[in-house]
Amino acid sequence: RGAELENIVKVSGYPEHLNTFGVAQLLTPYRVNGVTMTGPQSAVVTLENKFQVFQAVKEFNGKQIDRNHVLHVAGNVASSPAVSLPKNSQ
Amino acid sequence: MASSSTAFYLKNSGFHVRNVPKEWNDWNLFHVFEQFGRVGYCRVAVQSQQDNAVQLGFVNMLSVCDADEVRKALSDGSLIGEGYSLKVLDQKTHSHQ
Repeated sequence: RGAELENIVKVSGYPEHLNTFGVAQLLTPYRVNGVTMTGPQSAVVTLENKFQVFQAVKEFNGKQIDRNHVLHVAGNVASSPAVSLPKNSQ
Repeated sequence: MASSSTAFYLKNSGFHVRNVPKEWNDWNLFHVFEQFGRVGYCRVAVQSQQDNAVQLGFVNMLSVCDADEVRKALSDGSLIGEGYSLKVLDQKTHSHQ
């Protein structure tokens, strides 16, 4: 089910004590539809759509959440505009 | 929660977009609105009639604050950029919602 793959992000590097709610909270304000823990400090999170995945990766990947933890957020979504973007936009 | 005609959306954060260039897809529309804030949902409705030079779009921002940033950027209801002039209208909220 390829369509669902673009809704997920892999999140890792957060503090070990977080449960699924804590992981969902890391990605505020993006809408989390599901969290699956895949290890002590890694999880697969389903967001609402590819645009939220794209923005969450941009916003949270590499973010320092405290002195000892850097968030790693990776998604499978690449921006694919049908026509190239004007230079004044991102 | 009362259901809207199509899908759930956050009140005062949705926009109807007219005048979307025909060759655009959802990513093009997304990148225009992304400049103002977080986008919750975005789509381009392909129009069925031929020889139509424009199409329709729907954008929901993730919060009312983000939507207000879009409203601030509007000049007379339009978002104008290089090669486009989008007519942006607030998504209508019906009284029963």
